[in-house]
Amino acid sequence: MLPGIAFYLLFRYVPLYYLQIAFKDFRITRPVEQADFAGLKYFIEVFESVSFREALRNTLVINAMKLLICFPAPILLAVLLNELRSQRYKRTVQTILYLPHFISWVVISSILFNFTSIYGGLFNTIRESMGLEPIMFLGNKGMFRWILVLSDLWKESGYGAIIYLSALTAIDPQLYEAAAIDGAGRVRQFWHISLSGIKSTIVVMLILRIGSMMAGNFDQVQSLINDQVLSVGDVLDTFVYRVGVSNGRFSFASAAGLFNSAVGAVLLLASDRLAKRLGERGLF
Amino acid sequence: MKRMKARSARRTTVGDVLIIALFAALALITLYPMWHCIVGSLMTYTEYMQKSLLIWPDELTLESYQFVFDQGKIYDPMKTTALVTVIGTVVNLAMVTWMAYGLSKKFPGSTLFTYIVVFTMFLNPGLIANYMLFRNLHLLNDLKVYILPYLINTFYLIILRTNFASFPTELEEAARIDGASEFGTFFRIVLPLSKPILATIALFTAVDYWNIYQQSVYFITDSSKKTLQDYLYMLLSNNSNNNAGVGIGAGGVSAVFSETIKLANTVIAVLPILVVYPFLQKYFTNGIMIGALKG
Repeated sequence: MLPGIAFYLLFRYVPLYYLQIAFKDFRITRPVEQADFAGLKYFIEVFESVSFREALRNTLVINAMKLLICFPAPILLAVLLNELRSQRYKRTVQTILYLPHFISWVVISSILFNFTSIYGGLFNTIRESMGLEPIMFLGNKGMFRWILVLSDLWKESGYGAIIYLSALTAIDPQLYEAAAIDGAGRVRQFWHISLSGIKSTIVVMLILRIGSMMAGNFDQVQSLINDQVLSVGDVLDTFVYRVGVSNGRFSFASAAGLFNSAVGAVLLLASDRLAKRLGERGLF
Repeated sequence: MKRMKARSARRTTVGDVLIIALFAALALITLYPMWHCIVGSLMTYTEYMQKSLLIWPDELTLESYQFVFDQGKIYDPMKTTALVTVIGTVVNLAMVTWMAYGLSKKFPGSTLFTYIVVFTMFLNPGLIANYMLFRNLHLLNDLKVYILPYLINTFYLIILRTNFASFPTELEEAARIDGASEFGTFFRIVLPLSKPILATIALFTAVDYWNIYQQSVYFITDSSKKTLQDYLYMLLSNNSNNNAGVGIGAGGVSAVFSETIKLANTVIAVLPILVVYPFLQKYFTNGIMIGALKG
């Protein structure tokens, strides 16, 4: 037990001590304790920085797009999977759709680089067959965010359906029979039984989702981004890494990161409150 | 069961056919990209350049893999990743099991310990704070940075604790009356009963370790200690990221890493996942990992 607790204290609580460098003029050559107090200087710098504001906006926009498109997809998949009558077909489909979750973002990026290559990549071959010019999908400002959203949709929708499938199995089958006897068709059964039966699961997942609106998917963005699309694709996580670790601006990056975590925590608590006010179970 | 019967009594409708067709299409969209990689990596470069949709190679060849292994740059990241996966999984499983068993018992201070653990799930000190700590502990550019800071996965810990706590206490009492020690009970009663969930956690942990990318980007600059995922990223970004999607054929340096060779590297980075996946998916349907999340 004690080594486990020691692990938690050292690697999960001690780092909090270093948050003070957001308020100090920290230089890597000197210990944190000897750095001069800088007050809110770095927070002001962060908010005045154009690239920070871009990263903040991108994080929110990309997460909002994912919320609209990637959040409902697993719910829909689960309800439709539940309609499959052949259990063998259902299991096979599930096995296939869950697979991409376990594949790393770098591997998926590699596939995307290959598909979007202007030298005979699949996507550009399709464009050419429709009489369109080949384009650099990943270097295109209008497309980059959509590529993030759609590749996330491809990777996580299937696996995300598991939790809704398990919620669906908890619905009393007699409800469907009764509804069928009362003359409710498939669509009405979907709205009134399936969807309302998994409502509380949907709400919990939605809270988690909204609570992580400030979190960028580092692996995904880092492995796909390039200079041409930095202004539309850079998210807070990649921003903090780039300015902090790569450029060595520790106090500045720390202030940006602290702002990010604080707003994230507030969002999570607020969405939980809201869910409870609407009569749902909530997280805490 | 009842519903299945009631529903299968129904006639097959157009709706059913549409749903079946939809899932067939989705399965194809899911599988094709991976199939494309595997088939492409087994083609000659000339054949690859003539085709866009890859179904099966006219001529099976291992020349891309031959190149990758002759060139040999992949050996270091492969060794690092394999080592980290094996050690990380074993140590993680031992630590998680130990902690979970301890936390499933009531003892003075057990509530405090549980709070210390659970609170960290909502606590994110952020990259820079972690970086500073690792720097002071001399973990930067050290393989230990892949393992030590991630010794216990709190999510799996809570799942396992719930599992241990659900065992009837009579079971362990009976063993103790029969003269088994605390350790004996744990190893002969508790562990064997938890085999499926331990296997699931071990496999999930191993997949997490194999796919490590972030830590390698953040904390390792020495290229001989990079993980396989980061190595693959650097290989791809060297000649395609900067010009956004421009692949082979641009001449010069990129000719060294032709598309088929990149695909071979990609397949190597993902192959172990594809190999363990059939064992992994066996455990999804019984919902082990979900119970705790709802919990």
